Amino acid sequence: MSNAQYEVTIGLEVHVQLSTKSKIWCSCAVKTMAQVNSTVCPVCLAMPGSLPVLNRAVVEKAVLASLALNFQLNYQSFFDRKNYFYPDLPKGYQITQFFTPIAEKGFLELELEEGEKKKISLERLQIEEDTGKSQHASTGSLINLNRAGTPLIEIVSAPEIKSAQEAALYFKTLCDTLTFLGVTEGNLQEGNLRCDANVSLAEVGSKKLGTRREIKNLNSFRNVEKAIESEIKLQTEILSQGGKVKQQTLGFDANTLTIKVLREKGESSDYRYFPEPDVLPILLTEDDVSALKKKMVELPSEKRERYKSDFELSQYDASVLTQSKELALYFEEVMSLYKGKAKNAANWIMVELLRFLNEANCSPKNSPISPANLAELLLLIDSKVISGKMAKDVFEKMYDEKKSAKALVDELGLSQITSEEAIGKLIDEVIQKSPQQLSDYRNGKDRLFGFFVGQVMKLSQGKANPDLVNKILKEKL
Amino acid sequence: MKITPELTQKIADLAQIQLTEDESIYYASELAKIITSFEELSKVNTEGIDPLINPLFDHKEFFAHYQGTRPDEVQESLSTQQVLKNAPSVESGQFKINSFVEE
Amino acid sequence: MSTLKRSLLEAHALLKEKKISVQELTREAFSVAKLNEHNAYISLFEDLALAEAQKTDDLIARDGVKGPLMGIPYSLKDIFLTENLRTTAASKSLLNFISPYDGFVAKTLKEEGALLVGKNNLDEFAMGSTNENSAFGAVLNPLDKKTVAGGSSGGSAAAVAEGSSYFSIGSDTGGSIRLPANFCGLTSYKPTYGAVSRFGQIAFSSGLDQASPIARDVSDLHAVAQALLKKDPKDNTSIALPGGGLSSLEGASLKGKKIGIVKDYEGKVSPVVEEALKKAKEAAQKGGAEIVEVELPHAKYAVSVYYLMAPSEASGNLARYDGVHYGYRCQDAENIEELYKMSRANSFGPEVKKRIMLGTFALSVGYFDAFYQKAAKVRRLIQRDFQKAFSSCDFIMAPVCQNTAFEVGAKRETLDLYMNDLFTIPVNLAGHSAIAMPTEDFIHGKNKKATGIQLIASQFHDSELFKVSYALERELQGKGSKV
Repeated sequence: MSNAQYEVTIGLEVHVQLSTKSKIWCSCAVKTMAQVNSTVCPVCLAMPGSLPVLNRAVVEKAVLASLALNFQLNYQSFFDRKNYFYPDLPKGYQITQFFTPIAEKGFLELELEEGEKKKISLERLQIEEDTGKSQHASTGSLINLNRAGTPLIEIVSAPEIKSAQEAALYFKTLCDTLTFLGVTEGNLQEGNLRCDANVSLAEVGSKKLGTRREIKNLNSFRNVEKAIESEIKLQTEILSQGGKVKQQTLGFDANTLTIKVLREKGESSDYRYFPEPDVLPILLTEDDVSALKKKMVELPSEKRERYKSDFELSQYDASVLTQSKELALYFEEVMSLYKGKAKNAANWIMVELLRFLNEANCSPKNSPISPANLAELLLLIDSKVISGKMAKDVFEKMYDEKKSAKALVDELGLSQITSEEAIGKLIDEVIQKSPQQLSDYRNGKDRLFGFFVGQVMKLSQGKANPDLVNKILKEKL
Repeated sequence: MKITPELTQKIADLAQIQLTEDESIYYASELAKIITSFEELSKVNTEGIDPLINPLFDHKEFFAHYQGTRPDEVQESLSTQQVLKNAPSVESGQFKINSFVEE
Repeated sequence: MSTLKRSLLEAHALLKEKKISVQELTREAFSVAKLNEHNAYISLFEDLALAEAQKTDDLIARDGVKGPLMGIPYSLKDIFLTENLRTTAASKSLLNFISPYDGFVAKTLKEEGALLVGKNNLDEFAMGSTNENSAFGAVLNPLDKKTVAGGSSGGSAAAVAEGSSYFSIGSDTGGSIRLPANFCGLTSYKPTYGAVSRFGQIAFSSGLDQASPIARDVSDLHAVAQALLKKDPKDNTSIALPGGGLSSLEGASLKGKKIGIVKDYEGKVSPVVEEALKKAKEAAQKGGAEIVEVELPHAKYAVSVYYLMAPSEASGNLARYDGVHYGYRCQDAENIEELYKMSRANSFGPEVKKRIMLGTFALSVGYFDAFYQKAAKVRRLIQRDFQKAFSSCDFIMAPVCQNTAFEVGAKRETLDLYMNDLFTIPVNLAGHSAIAMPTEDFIHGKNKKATGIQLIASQFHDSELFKVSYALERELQGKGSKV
């Protein structure tokens, strides 16, 4: 695929479901798994006479997101109506923020390869509401309004993204940032984040942007990348054959990896935006914002920096440990109790713990081995109570039986033998049993040292401390 | 300002109301009369004037300090039966309508 | 012809003195209501009301009469939602709509112990000034059945004037309670915007609508208003009036009050109305008030502003009537597009369709700035006119309508009809409060060409408005103090 003559320009609009307990305009629960039409009230059903009342937590989460994304807050912002008819939109309009959103002019920093960083400008962050869901059968379409009124923030990027990979990275970075912040659950399978991608191509060196097409409702990092790749290919074909790209709205079939045209943009929607008279303006004070600033948490990019500088971990290790909020918090909890070498903790978590957790599809939050337990295990290894090899067996037992390291070590009598006297006795016993090897060794067969080590370890059932064995054996042989 | 039956038909489409040909002629004439009378507004000097949307929006004392908002608490929803009680057509606990293709 | 036997407060006194029972009051009310002389009702709830009346009588026997509204038969404009009872907005779209919840107004009056007689007829979705736009037929004026009751709360006015309810709650968006009150010889109150919760009130124009009581006189109105004036968490645009609601009418006086007469309204009314205005002015002066001249130079644009902004909001508020989740659905629709377009075409009457299209047009791309936005800016200028006027007077006195009630069924030009609201609209645009009262007792007197005036107070001054209205009413009708 040669698109060397074309420069790609991508802008992304991401809709994020906020992790509040109740909906934006009413007190119905925000629940993903609920029986159809069971979290619906006169307000989200848009019954005659119903009125929207704003959920305070929505404003707070929107402000937190704005702060984390380096936005300028509009201390007074307003709501507007976006008018259109659709079966999953019971009011016949969506309450959104069109004219004066809560935040404008922010940026998101992407961590590219080789430590390179790139800032993507963000145009706006606005508060709005989600629609209901429809299901299609041969006899008709069915509407479930449970999701109607779920609070959303929409984040619009500037058209500064330059490749499909960058777009996927942007989506992932945004998702991680907002999940760590506690503003969203960040569960893509449940549709917590959805992305619309605007893609246009222009000849390299051209000052104008090409006509863009919009791919709607991409719901995974992979889909974002694949969809944009396909779209770039399609547009390149059109343009290189001398054709013109039409302003169209597209959908992406994730199964067949194909782009399909949903509608011609020209024939859409005059949304007749006008100020929402039913909702009072949002008015933030300095005190409100200061109070929220105190709730700011360390963001994933900040954690990675800290892990590299304070814990001397590599970029790779830092990235793995910050793959989810739960894992990062798990690691930090371990470190607060262990206080030893971070690399040790990191290795055990990244290799051993993750292996078990992934197999069991378990979140670090629910890990059978608590951070305290893992910290204890690491301390036992460091103080040489058990060897590294033994620790692996103990670890597996800890996971299966949910017992602490110390309890298991005691129970199984696994403590390493560290008394020089005891080791001396074991060595004496082995030497006694192996007179031939002894004389061979003393006559120059140095390799037999390993034999004696092995015999001591066997006799001690692996519990003898290897370093001490070496030391004392040297003395005695 | 010319309000033709064609423009009226477009407006009716936006408002999702079906009009017969006679109706589009009738409403075109009605709307034209009304809209023409509004043209007097164009003579009013509104330079630098803020629009007035709701008489309470100027009164910050009613919405400062989160007053116009509610706490993030869950309260009981309607039962599914109540939700569907006035529905013209229902299937599997959901509102049923003619099939449509999702956009 | 009116059978209005007594006022609300008189009925209350009789209940307290045990000279009458709630059941008697209720049966009396229904005997008039069922005659249906004026088409004042869309629904009547006789069995329910009589059962409720008996319970109320038992409560009174046990604990006495708790408040002035307890046991009093009343009615609601059929835009206020009532739990498990039909609410139609006088529209085919909601012919059989049963609400699962009580709106603020219904709930509050239920808690006060008032007795709901039925739901009053209105202009469909509160759009109209003659109550001829109802899917249930026109409402006739009890003072003269050949004339209109006025709109959009025509049914509310007719119900109180004919004597089938002691008070009704109507609504006022651009004059919809003051005009029918004016035509039927009754008194009405449009609260400061936000003073009464709109939760459970079918929306026409969100930034203008207010629930508005109508009753026989100011003191009856005062008793009703007191129950309704409180902040409701279910409507974020509802407020508590500063000073905590209405103060008592005791000691109400016109002495030293400056009453503004609007220069721009001069010469704009018929001789009958001119005469009424003159009478009211003189009564105010007799009571000790000073008459001053004020200006509302932009008020002449009020009708254009209103008929751009209100229909725009309505085009949004009525979008939910699409036949998908509730309401009327066209059964012949063969696809989703027809479902919407045919359902809505069959749901709404011509006036409603007209206004929806007007609003859709005013908001559409290319027209938004010149129409909706321009109107909103001129609305600001009207608000400023009022601010300036109120700096030189305490209250404004103005006519309610240029004419008295006109003939039912006569063909009228839309623009002429819209001009009915010329004097009432500016009050809603600025969010102020007003009380409209008759200038004589038309209900019991010979003169059936009812007319009156309105007193307008600045935002949040509803309490003072009541007092000065009470004082003026006393001067006009020679009523003794009831308080």
